Amino acid sequence: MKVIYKKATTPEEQERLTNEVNILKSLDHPNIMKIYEFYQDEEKFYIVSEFLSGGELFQKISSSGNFGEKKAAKTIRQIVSAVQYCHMNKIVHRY
Amino acid sequence: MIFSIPVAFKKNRDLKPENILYESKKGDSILKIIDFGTSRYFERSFAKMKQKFGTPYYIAPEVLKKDYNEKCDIWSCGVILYIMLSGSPPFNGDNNEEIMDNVLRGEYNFDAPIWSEVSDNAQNLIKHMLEYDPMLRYSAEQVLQDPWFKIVLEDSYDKPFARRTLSQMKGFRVI
Repeated sequence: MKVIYKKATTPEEQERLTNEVNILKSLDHPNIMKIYEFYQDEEKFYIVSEFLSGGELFQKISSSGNFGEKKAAKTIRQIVSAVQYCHMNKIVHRY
Repeated sequence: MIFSIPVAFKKNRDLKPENILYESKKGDSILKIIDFGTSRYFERSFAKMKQKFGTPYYIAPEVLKKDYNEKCDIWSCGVILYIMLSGSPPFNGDNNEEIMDNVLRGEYNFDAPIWSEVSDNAQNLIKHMLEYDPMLRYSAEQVLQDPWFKIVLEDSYDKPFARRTLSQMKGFRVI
């Protein structure tokens, strides 16, 4: 559960956050973190998402002794397939 | 932390490794992209501001010029791949301004000795991902269809890179 205090954000930001999180909630791809719930009360937004415990990409790579081209290929393929999913769903086009 | 995926960043629309997390600590764990767009709100709420614009290594030149489309994500992935294979960013500098100048110039090379360990196929894919002109740059689909994946993934042995490549990766992760 993640909590965002509304008083730290402007109404414009709140609207953008709501829009963004609602889009995210609709996405379903193995390489995109899943948002399960998004709700709010007077003071706060609440975001319930998948829990990821493995750490950041480069942290893990730099501490792993056996990293080669094959692992790099497996890694970048996952990232690009998430990107492809987003592009197919046209969710990047908001400037 | 607030997580979500990299959609619709009005500013700072770049995919970066800080926003790509492993699901678990297992060796074969899958990766998940989270969002920087929303984590921004959290940071401000708790006065835990990182650098305002973060690390500009991954940002596409056309994003800096504020005229871009979805191809900017492929550029960022190309930078990530370049770093994974060499341990150093393709566009570097002593400070953010220098880095961004180099991104705008778009010139990079495979001159470092470490690249002699990396296949031509991998370097070729990077060239398509770091193509300066977004129109000519590979789409996500083209990247996924690149022969490098088939060739390297069918190879049963994954020759590990020299240790220093890996330790270098920590060095520039955070400015």
